[in-house]
Amino acid sequence: MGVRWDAVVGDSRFWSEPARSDPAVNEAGAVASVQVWLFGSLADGLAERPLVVGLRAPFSVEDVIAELGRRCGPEFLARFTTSGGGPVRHCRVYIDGDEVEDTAAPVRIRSACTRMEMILLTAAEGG
Amino acid sequence: MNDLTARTNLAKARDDAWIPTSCALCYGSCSILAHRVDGVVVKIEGNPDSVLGKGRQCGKGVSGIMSHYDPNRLKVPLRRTNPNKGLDEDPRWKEISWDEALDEIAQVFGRIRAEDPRKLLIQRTTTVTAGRNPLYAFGNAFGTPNYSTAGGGLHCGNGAHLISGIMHASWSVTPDFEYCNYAIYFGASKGHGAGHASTANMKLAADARARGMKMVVVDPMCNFASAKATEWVPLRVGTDGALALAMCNVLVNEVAIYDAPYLQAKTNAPYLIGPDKCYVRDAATNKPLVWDGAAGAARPYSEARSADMALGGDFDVNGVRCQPAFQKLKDHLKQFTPEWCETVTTVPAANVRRIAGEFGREARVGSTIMVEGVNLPYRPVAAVAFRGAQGHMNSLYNFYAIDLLNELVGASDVVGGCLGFNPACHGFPETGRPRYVPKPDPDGLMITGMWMGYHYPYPVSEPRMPKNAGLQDLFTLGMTSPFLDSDDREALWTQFELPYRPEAMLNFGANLLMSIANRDSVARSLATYKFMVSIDIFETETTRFADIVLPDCGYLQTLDSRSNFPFIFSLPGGMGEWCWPIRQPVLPPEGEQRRFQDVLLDLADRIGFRADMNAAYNASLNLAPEHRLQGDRRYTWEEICDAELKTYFGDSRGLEWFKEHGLIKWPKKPEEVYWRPFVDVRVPVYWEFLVPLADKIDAITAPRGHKVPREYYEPLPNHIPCVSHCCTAPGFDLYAFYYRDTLHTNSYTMENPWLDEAAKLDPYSYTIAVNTDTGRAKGLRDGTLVWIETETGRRVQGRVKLTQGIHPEGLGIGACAGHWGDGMPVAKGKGVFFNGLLELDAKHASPVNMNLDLCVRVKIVPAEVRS
Repeated sequence: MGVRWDAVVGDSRFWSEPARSDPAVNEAGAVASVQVWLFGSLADGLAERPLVVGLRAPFSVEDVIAELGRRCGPEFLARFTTSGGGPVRHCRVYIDGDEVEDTAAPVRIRSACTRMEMILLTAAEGG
Repeated sequence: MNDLTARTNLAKARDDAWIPTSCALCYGSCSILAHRVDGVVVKIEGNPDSVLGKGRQCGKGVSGIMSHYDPNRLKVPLRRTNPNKGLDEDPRWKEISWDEALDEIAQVFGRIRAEDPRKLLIQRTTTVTAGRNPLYAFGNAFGTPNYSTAGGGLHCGNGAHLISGIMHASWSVTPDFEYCNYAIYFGASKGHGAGHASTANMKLAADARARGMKMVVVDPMCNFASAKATEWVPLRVGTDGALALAMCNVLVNEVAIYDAPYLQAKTNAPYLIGPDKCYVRDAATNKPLVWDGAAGAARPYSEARSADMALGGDFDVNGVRCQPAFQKLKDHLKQFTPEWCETVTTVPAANVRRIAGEFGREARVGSTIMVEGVNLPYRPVAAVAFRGAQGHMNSLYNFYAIDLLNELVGASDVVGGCLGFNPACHGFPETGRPRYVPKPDPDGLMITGMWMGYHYPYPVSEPRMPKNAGLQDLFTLGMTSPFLDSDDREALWTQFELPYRPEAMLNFGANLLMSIANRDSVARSLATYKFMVSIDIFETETTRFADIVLPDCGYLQTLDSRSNFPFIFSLPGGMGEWCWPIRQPVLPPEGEQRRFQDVLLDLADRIGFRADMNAAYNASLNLAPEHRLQGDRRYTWEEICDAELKTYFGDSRGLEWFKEHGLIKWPKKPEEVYWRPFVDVRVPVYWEFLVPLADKIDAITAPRGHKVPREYYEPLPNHIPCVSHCCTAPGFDLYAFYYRDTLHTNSYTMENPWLDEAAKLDPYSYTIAVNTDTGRAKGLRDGTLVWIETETGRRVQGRVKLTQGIHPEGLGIGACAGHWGDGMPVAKGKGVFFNGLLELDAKHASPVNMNLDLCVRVKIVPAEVRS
């Protein structure tokens, strides 16, 4: 008696991602305004909250971060980004309240002014 | 209406109520019913409706009532008036009002936050699991990366949790008790009195033993698990990994028992390894290559059928000589013969072969079983480890080698095998929350779906010039760091150019003077903080270093929407039910006690970062968009708990619903519990990522005079001796270690009079266990007063208890005893302070995961002779 592990994998859809009921409404080329709310250590030293950036659709969270880098400088970026340009894993990003899993994917714009929130959480833990 | 609700309603008129809530005498956080009569809790029982404990309680839980009503509880805020701090300094407390206390704290913390928030260290006890979110939310909002869980993390977490996360996507591992037939424990006590899901696992383990599960316990001491085992395998302290490596060798190279289909489909065993010890990658996709036997060519792992992936052989790929990782592992293991193992561990070679053979045969490689109508792989064996095996210099390799036993036979997150604690959850059926499941990284290796820290154990973060005082951002496989308190911390901070120094500490209940290592080193560290706040139940030895002390509510007075961490920490693994309990107040605060959660919100308001605090709670509790905390609105702790519960269980099941019911539960599905066959992820049996990690760390440290010891970063596990194994000083002939007494939790419960009484009745809790033959040869007898001395001159005193239940070279001491402070008078002077023997510096910490080396070579000196 034997079972192929890969055969078992192929037969199941149990863990398939649930379908999203929230289609993207990005209009290519349109300029969107993004309110960027930075919290905790990310807000340290920044004079204003929120920062407002304008980007041409489609754009990703990483595009917003790159724009923040242009405004706030490389030291600011070094607080929360990897060498690849994306945020470190313990940085949480939310667009209009929804957590962003893929920061390279196009942002789903739902309103005239998109709200983006970022905070650095704890990088180390014991138990 | 269930019986509990009926009883509660009937009792309302005369205050005779059974309140469903959660224990906090240890981090197991079992569900309890507290019986309150006329405002007094008269009894605590296990809650039979809950999966967490299943109506059972341990001795600690039953005794919680005595901790609550202890007359030595702190009741008013205190201000230090003696500016000097030290082990022998009296703080000269002065009672102050809450406003005075919080104003002063807000002023100091506010200044620090404006200057550099990283100067604040947040320290917490691991005993109260629910403390993590409020404390970390405060720290995240404040802006500091510096956290510590004192000895709770440093002693047990850096290896066990890291490797459980990488290999099982969970905080810890356990046998699948319902189906397991053969479990090997390496320095672990799962199901035998302590640890995650402690009382629930006690029943599961007891039922499994009664059913006939064979249990082999590898441990220098015949302790709580060994005493109930089928077989106790005593070994030299700190050599568990050597034994596991020899067993792996027997499995692979002597009896040829391994699960090839599992290794092909669920591990990186087929990935081709080049001469640089790294994956050979596809030029176009950068994916690791495998040798596709059907195609007769190398192909990206994602483009070949698993069944066609070669596990052995030598190949040439574009001029590069390479071998599958499994071939590398197989060849590597050959050096670990049972005869070699005997010299290292003292376990007879014949026993190594027998136990390995039994494990392999009992694994029933290739078999399947139906569970609730689902056909699943069946591997009824498990090798589990915890503090005992991994609390050493070679912490990582010890645990890695032990888990290889599971991986080789495919007994990983399948029926009967070694399970992570609930790594995959499909969510509450009505909301689909919380939903988490492991997923693959670009190399196909597993990323955990849920984690208690926010960094995840894998993929490993990129090392950088450290910004964390613990240096975890440089040594990125480490979690809790010894370098916050170590003797060489200033030298390390200077060497690695830390741009600031910690100035203030916010401590929640941790007694780090007792829980980390020798008290002199920790006291020197504590005395350097310019300002320290301690939120405590009792005045501990560490509290006496604080500038301001805030009296906390106890577990019967407080509220937590998550008394456990969902669900990788305290919910038992295996089939059964998901269960989310809360903790709710049974009694009001006494005196001026206040809940620490409220205090932290108050401080955020006084300092002026409530918006950041709300954002931190939104993120750490993963609140749904419709329940997120808005702006800088001043939510109460009750409102935050309500938002979390509604996020996960719907608008009709907020805090009021949970206060009435205590918990919610729903059935687990086989695809959740035995998720591994259904999720296309692989785990590393060859830790290729250690090679570039060492390069990256070395690129930072070598120019600053610190060479990375490469032997700790090899991709295949090895036996690396501890400092104690290398001691050659004459007379130091014993290996001292501590064990976790089931009667106690860290240093906290030593103050509980019922537990103290039980410990005094136990021959071992407060004594020094020495092998009978060894002891007699030294002229020792039961009750002899002795000094235990280390090569560096550290020493502790205690009375000997001779026993055959300890390895002849071992010396066992119950952990975290030996209080010396007056604030916990029941605890004072009880037992032996083992940690007084431990050095606290980089030389005694793992160069990979920073775990402190917890074994120490000692000699015994009769105290009468010395004096």
